[in-house]
Amino acid sequence: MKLNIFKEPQLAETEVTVRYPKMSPKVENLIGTLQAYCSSVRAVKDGSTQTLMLDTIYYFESVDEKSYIYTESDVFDCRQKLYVIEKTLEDTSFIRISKSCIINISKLKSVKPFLNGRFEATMLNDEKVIINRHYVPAFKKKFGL
Amino acid sequence: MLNKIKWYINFDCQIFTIMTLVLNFMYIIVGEVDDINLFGYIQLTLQHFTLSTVITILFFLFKKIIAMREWYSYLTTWLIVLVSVYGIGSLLFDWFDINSWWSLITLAITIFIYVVIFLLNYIENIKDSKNINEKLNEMRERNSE
Repeated sequence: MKLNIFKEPQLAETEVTVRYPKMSPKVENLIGTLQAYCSSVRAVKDGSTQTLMLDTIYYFESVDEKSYIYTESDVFDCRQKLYVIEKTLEDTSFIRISKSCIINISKLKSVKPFLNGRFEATMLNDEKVIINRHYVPAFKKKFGL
Repeated sequence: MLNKIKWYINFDCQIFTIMTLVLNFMYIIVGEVDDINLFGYIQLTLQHFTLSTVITILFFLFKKIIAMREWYSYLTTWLIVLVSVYGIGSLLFDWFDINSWWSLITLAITIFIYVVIFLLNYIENIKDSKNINEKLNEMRERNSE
């Protein structure tokens, strides 16, 4: 893959163009990462609404029909349902790992298999989340396995 | 939804393959393989497939109980396997007499097949988690450059 970087002072904002001959898992991952980097979601904490860049989010979790956003050290309320978030974040670095959780694989430190077919995912902040065995095939596919 | 269907099809194929391999090995040991003609072999294969599919369907129907990972989930799993093997194997297909020693041998074979499937999945997951962790390390190294 060739990487071209141009400094163009006349541009109002940074532009990224991806040119590829054929779609491949590598290109999909690259586009996903870029989309996650460029996109944002609205989050609520202590009554005030904030905009969070996707690349700061570790995972989304749904508890008692409420959605929460987890960053490195903070938890925010999210007004969107998990299935809406999942749809919005399709083809990004986010992936659903259970009925109640969507994680950002760019914030993933490591994974470990359990005997019962599930995986334990350790995030970069050492938080642990469980990958349900029904979601394991899709999770592996995200890594080209 | 598609992932779940794939998972159950894969599960059915695993049971069918391991069961067919183990039972064919058993027929060779017992010396029954010379008595089976092509029609008999096809019939036997279809019977194996019926049994594996019934087990898969029952797993699907009781998935909520199984997913709870409590003592009764494991009990349900074993009840499904044993009721299918003894009900279909003995009563429907007449593979063995339920009141004979073959009943105990069948139990041993069932446990063996269960353990083999379980171990194969676990070994595959260990291998895949190693690959995923390597890819995560590569991703982190690329990002830190």
